[in-house]
Parts: sequence; structure tokens; C-alpha cells
Amino acid sequence: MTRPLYEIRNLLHRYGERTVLEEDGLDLYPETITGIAGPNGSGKSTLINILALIVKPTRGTLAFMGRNVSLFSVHARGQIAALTQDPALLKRNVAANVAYGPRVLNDRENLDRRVTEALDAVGLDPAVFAGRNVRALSGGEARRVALAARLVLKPKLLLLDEPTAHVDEHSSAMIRQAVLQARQRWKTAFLISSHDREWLDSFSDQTLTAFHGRLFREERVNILPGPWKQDGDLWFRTGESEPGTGMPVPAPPDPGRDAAVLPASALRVVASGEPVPEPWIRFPVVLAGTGLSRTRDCLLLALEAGDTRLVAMVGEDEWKNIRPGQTCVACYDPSRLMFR
Amino acid sequence: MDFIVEGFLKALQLILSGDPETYSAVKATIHVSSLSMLVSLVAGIPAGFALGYFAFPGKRGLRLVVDTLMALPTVFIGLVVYAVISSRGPLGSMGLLFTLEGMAIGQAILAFPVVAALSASAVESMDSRLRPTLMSLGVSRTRLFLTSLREVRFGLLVASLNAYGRVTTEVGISMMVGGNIKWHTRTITTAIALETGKGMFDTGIALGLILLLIAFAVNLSLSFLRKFE
Repeated sequence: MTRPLYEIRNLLHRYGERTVLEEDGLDLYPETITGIAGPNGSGKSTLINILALIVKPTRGTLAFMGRNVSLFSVHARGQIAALTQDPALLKRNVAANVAYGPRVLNDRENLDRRVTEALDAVGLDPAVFAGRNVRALSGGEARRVALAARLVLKPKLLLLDEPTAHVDEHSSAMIRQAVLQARQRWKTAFLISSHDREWLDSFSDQTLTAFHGRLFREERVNILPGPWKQDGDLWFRTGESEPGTGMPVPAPPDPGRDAAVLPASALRVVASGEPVPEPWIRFPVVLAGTGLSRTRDCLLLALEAGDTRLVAMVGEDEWKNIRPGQTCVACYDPSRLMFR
Repeated sequence: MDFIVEGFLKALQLILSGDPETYSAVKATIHVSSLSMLVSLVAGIPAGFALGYFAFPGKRGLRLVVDTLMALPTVFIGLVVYAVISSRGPLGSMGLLFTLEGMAIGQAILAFPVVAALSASAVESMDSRLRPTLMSLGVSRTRLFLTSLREVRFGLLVASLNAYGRVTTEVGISMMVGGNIKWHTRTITTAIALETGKGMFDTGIALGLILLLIAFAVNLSLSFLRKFE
């Protein structure tokens, strides 16, 4: 079995009293592309900054290629690189910016050729851009120059934090192409965060979901932010336009703040009138659409419960009696629901 | 009015004829200011960098103290340095009183807070994204420091020029610690004070012009360097 490139254990990070990241164990493998999707403030950037050895975690161990690493570790120098969310370019021209990393790491062999290669890899013509002042670049071009400055290092692991934020579709496509090319040519592994799940899914080997400082491994996770209001034995989101609709949940520990997290694989769909196991929670949904799972031999069902959109991951036998547009019943085992 | 015009003419004559007394003062000025600037830059830039870069308890208080020290009166520094290096003072045995080195100590004390405070301001205005960006490229601590310095080099240049301006134009320290000894510790500024006191405006104006020329040459060479950045 392939040995992990990066092993993360018992990671915890706090800003003051607030826990922003908690991850018991995460392994990244060589030559893999791992995506992290999640809303703003879910801990994606914190995780990337910690793994890039820019921020020291409050607690936890990081082992890269079998050796413990921390800020300024010589062992990781040039092997782990990161493109932070808003990277600065140095007050030099494009070529000097791209060449900066190898220069400070004393890795100057064929540097001019490598700079040209790296600019090519991000779709910037070296003849046009190499001598250009960084102030004359557009946002997307600057982002690609910053990416080229990391690719030129040919690192074992490259962490990209929201690389497509504020860039146009063309730049997004170029970044994806550069990532795939780097993996193929230089055997680089990637961890890429983005709030654009579809973009991540289009090329990553697996996509994790980050929410409130936790990482969820499941291919799809339903995240329902609070606040919650009680109605009988169950609780409903107050944001629903029609009270008492949406996905009901058992009593949340903090109804004002907690979000409910339910893996798509925990949600079942049955035709109206079919029995549901006890003590599962059931509620009416409309089947809005279908798609195929990337990783498993099953179907993704897009469901609407009131104003809430949900995803269920179901086996072949579960969707035989239901069709898009049909009202049916969704149900789940409350023991699989988490509050964050 | 005539004496002012005459002063300018005499000034040109003194400069062009290479008057030894005038050039002795010029030499003393360059010697002392170079020495004091060297010390204040070597100590002041790292201190200013630390003050601007790191967060630590009491930072604001310390910053206030350093900013206040920028306004240290030169005669007060002269008095303190005189007391310390005079024969009765703790460093009296070193024989620094009435020497160029003794004057340089005083001028370094004058320049240090200027260099440190303005360097700290330059570092504080540095792009906050620079540190994570450099760390994301795997730089060492030393390289992080050096590249950060390079990114704020214009701010440091301004700090150095300000300090240089204060050092070359001060009179109090040079007069009190140096003693204004002819051919020895007489600098341009102390010579101007003396000549003006004697009513020798032409020599005073000549020395003033030379001081301006030195400042111009320093600024010109630095702006030349800046062009090549």
C-alpha cells in the first residue's frame, strides 16, 4: 500500500477561545488531487495555512514524508508549497517573481528554462509576460503568475486556497489544466479548497466537505444552518417560508446557532405510503433531479423539502418507484445526524 | 545686502581654491557622519524592523518612547555624552572627549531613534500578505527577514536620509563633545557657528554651500540607486 505523503493527527486550532479547526486524522497520498469544498469560515484556509507550515496549529502533529514538520522545517522546504487565498507578488517583474522560490532555495539549475515552462503551464506566453511589471497584470493573470511561482518548485505537495476566487472561467480552466499537468509531469499531489464544488469535482480524486472546522469524508453532505424552532417533538429551520416544512431534526443542543449535518448516504427516499424503520425521521420531499455518483455505484437524488435543497445518495433498488417531480418521502436514522 | 553677495563669491573662491581649513572641516564632517550613520543603521534597522514587525506586550509604549526620542535636543545628547566620556565620567579613561569618535557616539545616539522609528513605520506599512506568501514558498527565517527588508527598501532609504540630514546639520553635539578644535574636530556646522560669531559671513556661507552640496550628492547617489531597483 502507498505510504501517505502527509499525515495529520489530532489537529486543533483555536483563535482565542473559538475552535476553528478540529481534525483527528487526515492522510494525503502522493500524486492525488484532494478537494475541500465548503462555505466561507468553514476552516478551509486555516487547514491550508497549517499544512503549508505558515500557521502553527494550537495542537496536533504533522508528518511529511515520514518526518515531523513545523514552521520553517528544512525537511519540507521546497517540497510543500502553497498558493494562499490572496498571494502577494514581489516588486519585481513576472520572471523574477517566478524565479524567486528556486533562487532562495539555491536551486538554480536551468532556471530560465524552468521559468518558461512554468509560465507555459499556466497559459501565460513567456515572450509576452516574462518581462512584464506585476502592476500591469490583471487579477487572473496575477493569480496565474503566483501559481507558476509555485509550480516551478515542482513540489511534492501543492496547496491551493480558493485558486478560482475572483478569476474568470478561462483562468479557472487554465488553473485546472495546470494542476493536472503538474501531477502528470512532476508527480505533484494537490490539496485544493474552493467553494465551487462542481469545479473541484471535475478533476479531483476525492472532495471533502468542510463545515464549522470539521472535515467530512462523504462524497456529498447536507448542511442545514440554524436557527431552529420546535414544532411538536421535532425542530424545523426558522428560515422556511412555510413553517413546519423542510427537514425536521431532533432537538439541537444550541437551537440558535447549530447547523445540522447529514451525509447524503444517510438519507433514504421511499414512495409515499411505504413503511419507514423506527425510530427514523420521515418528511415529504419532491424529487427535483438526478445525477450519477463519482465514486460509488449509486445515484444522487436532488430533493426539495420546503425551501431546503437536499442530496440523497441511493442504491438502484431505491429509486425504482419514483420519478422527477414526484412527491415522495425522505427518511433518515437520527443517529447519523450531527450538529455543528 | 552686499555682504551676502560677497559671501557667495567668497564661497565659490574658497571651494574652487581648495582652502585647507575649509576642507579640513569637510573631512571631519564626512568622517563623523559616516561613522555615526554606520552605527545607527546597523543597530537601528534591525531594531526598527523588530519594532514594526513583531507583536509583543508593551509595543505601543516602546513605539511612543522611540518616536519621542526622535526629538532629542542635540545639546542634551552633547551634555550626556560629554558627562559620560569626560575624565570624571565612566568612560573617561577611553580618551574620547574632543575626538571625532566621541562626536560620532553622540551623533549615533541622535540618529538611532530616527532610523528605528522610521524603519518601524516602513515595516508596518509592508504588505501584510508578504509573510504568508514567502512562507508558502518555503523560505528560511533569514531569507524572510532579508526579502521583507528588500520589499520596504524605499522606506528604509527615507529613514536613512532623514537620519543623515539630522547628523550632518547638528551643532550641539559637535560643539560640546568635539570642542570645535581647528584642524581636528571642527566640522562644517561648528565652523559656520564660529565664523558667523566672528562676523566672517563669507566663510560661513561657503561652508553652508558645501554642506548643501554634500547632502545633494548623497541624495543624488541614492536616487540613482533607486532607479536601478
